Amino acid sequence: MTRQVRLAIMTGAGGVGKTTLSVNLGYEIARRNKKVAIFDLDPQGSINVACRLNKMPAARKTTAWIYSGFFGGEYSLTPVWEDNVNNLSVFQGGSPLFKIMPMLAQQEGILALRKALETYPLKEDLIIFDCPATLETLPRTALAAATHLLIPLVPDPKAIDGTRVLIDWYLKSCEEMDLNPKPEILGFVINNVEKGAEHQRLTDAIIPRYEERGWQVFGPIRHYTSFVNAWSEAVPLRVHRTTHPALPALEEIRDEVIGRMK
Amino acid sequence: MGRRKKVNVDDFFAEVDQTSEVHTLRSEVQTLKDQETELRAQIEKLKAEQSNPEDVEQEIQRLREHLLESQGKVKFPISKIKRNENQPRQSFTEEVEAMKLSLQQEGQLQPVILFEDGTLFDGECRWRAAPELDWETLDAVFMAQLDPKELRRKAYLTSLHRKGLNALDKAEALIAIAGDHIEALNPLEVPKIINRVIMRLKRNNSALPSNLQTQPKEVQEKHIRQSLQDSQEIELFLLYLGLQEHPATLNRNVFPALKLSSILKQSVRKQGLGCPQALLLNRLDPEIQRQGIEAVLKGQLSIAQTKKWIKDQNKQEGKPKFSIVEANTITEDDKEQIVREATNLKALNLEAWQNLEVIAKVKQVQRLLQEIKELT
Repeated sequence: MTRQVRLAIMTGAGGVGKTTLSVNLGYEIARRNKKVAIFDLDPQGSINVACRLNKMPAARKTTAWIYSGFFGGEYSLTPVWEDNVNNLSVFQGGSPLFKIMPMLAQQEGILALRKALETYPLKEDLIIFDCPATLETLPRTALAAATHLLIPLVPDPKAIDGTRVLIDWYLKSCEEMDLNPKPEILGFVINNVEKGAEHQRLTDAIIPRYEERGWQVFGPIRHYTSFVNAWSEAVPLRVHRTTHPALPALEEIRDEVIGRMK
Repeated sequence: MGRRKKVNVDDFFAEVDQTSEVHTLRSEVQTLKDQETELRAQIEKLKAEQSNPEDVEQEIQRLREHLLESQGKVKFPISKIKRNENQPRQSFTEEVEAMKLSLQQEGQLQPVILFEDGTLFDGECRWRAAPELDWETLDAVFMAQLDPKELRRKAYLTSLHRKGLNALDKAEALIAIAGDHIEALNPLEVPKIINRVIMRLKRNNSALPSNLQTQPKEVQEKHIRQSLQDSQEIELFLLYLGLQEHPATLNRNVFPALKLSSILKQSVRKQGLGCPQALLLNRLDPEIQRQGIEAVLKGQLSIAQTKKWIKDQNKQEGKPKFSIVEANTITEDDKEQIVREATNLKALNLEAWQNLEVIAKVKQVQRLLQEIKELT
């Protein structure tokens, strides 16, 4: 019997490779014969690009439907990358999410995602919530529903401070929503590290500091142009290049997540 | 060209630590409160069910132990204890007599349990018996003692909210904390000690690094132990650094607020007068201070506007209201002269300065310079 992991991928700053991480981690875990669904909670709907999905799905077919008040368990899961795996699917996000934001002003709305998954449970071993980079209501719904958190960041002052704000927000939100137990912070992923000295210095500085505080750090993962290429081809990194140097870090996260399913 | 200073990640992590600490503290308080609520509910239930008094007593004992463990007991003035009007029992004579004897012979074995406002929850016999023995206080524990105020105080220590504290509250909290934590230290001496040490370090060209408060504890210890000898000074500096307060900043911006006149203090507390403005007004005659407070509050004057208001007052009155102002303008020549004189003094060796009178004057100059810095 495996336990469902609901992993919210959140950041305190944009452009840190959140969606890249979501889809590739989802893919890596699906390859291990686990059933994985990725919920795109981002109004940008970047996953539609990453997996080359229809960019204008009907509102009913998106994650916005969960918050609509009409949801009755209709998870529109679209299988992706079927040539390579057969148990990975995406619940698309996109602009309909803008429309339901006002509904999230109330506690009821904030708990909608969690309620949905409790009332209409999914069989998936892993559900990934790909959250927008803003710390407002949508990520809050994910926080309420998640069992774990994964936080990617780039080693620059903006993202490091954004991550500090995120931690504050996480603690405060858990307290306000009375989440007991709190979703566990699975770890931080140091991502998109460039060769410049300042990126290196900050990477070296932050890793031990997270670790001293009992948090796991994955990576650092360098910045590779092949990320862009994989996006352009709309394929997983491993398909783009079987021996890509970023894969070991992804595998490390993969194993950690699978470990939480037991 | 000096190199620009790069971001120090310890600043970010110091804030992360503060935040986490406050939240941990909050949840600890919550847990304690939950336990307490549960125990109280159990007692209410037993009482309502008219259970065996021994069971009720046992349950009260558990609550007492819980409270003792979570917060400890205090000596509370009997005059401030209020009887619980809901107490069903009205006659006490015998028990009180027995209790009197017990208190006399064995002292108070169990603390009374009080609500936050001093109302008795348990211990009426002790409360009635004690004054007959001329006792003035009773050992007490409080229920729901960690009220929001207390939480705020604790939150200050670790604090997210200290940014919202004005310098005066901050200064008072900080010296009180020092009094709590450092034995044989008169809290009122704290500002002096800090000032003395900061000045000494400056004199010896060994001022503390400006970001020391955000450094790890070991780094702080190393620095302080290298720079200071006196154990009380060391303790005090480490205490404040541990609260992520830099002593030099406290000395410059926070502790001066303690010197405010009482009307200014009151205005800061009750009327929301800004501390920087209050410090400016503090140099004026009490009568003018009153007018100043009114002007600042009414016009919501900024620091610069407050300075201007003071200057205008001086013009109107025809004579300066604070002694250091001799003329209404400072010329380029004045500035030149001050800098020149100071530079001349720099040439003297340190020994020439070690004369009591000189030291006193220098101190005065330092203070004045500090004040000028704050005003400009």
